[in-house]
Amino acid sequence: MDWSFIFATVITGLAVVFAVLIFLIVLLKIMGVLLTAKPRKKPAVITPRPAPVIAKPAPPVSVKPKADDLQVIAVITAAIHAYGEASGKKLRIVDVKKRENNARSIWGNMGVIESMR
Amino acid sequence: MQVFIDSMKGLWEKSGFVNGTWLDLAMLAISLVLIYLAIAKKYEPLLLLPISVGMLLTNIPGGNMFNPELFAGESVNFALVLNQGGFLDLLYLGVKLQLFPLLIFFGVGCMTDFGPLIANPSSFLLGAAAQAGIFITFIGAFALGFPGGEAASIAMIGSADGPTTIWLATRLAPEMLGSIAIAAYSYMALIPVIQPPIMKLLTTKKERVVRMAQLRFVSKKERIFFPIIVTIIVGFMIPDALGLVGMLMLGNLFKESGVVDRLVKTSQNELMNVVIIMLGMAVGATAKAENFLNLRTLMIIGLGLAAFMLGTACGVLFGKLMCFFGKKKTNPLIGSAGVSALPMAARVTQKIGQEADPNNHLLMHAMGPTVSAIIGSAVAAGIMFSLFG
Repeated sequence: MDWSFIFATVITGLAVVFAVLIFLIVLLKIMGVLLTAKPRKKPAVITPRPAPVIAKPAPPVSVKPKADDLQVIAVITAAIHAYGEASGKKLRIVDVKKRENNARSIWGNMGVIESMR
Repeated sequence: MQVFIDSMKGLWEKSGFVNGTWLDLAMLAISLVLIYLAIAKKYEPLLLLPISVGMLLTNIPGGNMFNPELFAGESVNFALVLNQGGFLDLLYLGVKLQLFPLLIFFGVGCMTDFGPLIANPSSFLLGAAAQAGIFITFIGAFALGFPGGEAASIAMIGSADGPTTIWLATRLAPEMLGSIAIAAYSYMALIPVIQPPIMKLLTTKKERVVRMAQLRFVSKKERIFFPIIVTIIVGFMIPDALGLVGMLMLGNLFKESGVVDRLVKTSQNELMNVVIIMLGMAVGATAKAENFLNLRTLMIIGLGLAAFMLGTACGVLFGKLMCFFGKKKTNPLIGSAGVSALPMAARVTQKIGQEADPNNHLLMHAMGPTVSAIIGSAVAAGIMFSLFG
């Protein structure tokens, strides 16, 4: 066994490890696209509708106004202060930011995944 | 009276006090040190304790618990082992026949969550990069005079994967199995000491505070398809790695399917525990004085450390490349988790990341490279076996 064989082994080994794992990356990405794709909405089929039946007008429904963000923030702030007083810690809200998406934190996600199993 | 004296004389002549040598005593001392490290220092006690007890039993002179001559040669005479073998000879059959490492891999599959890897498949690259430590060490071992198969088995210590290392050493360098296994598990226990200086040396503060994007949700369908795809692809590309990867993925399929909970619980607990006891004792039994107390063992220990360090360094350096060129933000620290010491390597990454930024959580990101390295090291072992087996 000579050095050329040893270097050939190293190059072959690394190349094959990378090739196998890169192939798996490609397959996983394809799998991710296929399995996470949202089902397409079926195109609406236009069918002749029977003549509309005039129904009685529905009674007016009272729609609740959307909660005011400031009120929600005030309630959460009060709750945090109450918790701080109870636990003897000085808590202060420094900033309030709206998240761009509705995603959970990694830990939150893991908790949900674990509890859903 | 004469009968009594003859009996006592016979017992004395058979005893270890007469048949023991200073080499046996030295091995007993080493096994006691390992027992101390396992119990007092908690160095991988689940494996180091059975290994060191196996080592203790095999080195008590006259005990005949393990007879390596029964396993010498290409093929094993099973009838001879069953008729003349000691207790540890019978356990060693499980190692020799590849039964225990594969069952351990099955249990590991039942316990491993591949979700972070499926969510971020690029982690596979880091798992692959860290395997470079194995191949670089292989060159070093060859340079020190070890033949190809032995050099490959020693280099596999760098995979930080006990069952894979044992699997390869049993096939390519059975007489060195004890030294290699002890070095591998000792270094796995020392990961929190070995890795941090390398990680800090190779990264800047700016790189260590990089925050990575949140991992996406992985559906149950993806989790079920993953082990099936990996088994088929790896099986077709590297048939020699199919045993390890197939059992790992079968265990994971059991876990993710959600329909065989009883089997999964048994595999995670009772089966794993029983196999770990038998594997540990059998591996420890191979550490006899004639195989262990020599310069080669010292070289194995040195090369094993080099393999670990190089694997960590290659992972971190590849992480830096991904950080610099990648589209997504990558913290180079997660590259160190490309050695497959699950979950210790990922914990170390989390700790070092938090030292730089206490609010940065890298644990789940580091799990991707760690679990990909289990697959990567199994593939590397398969390649080594196909070249030198």
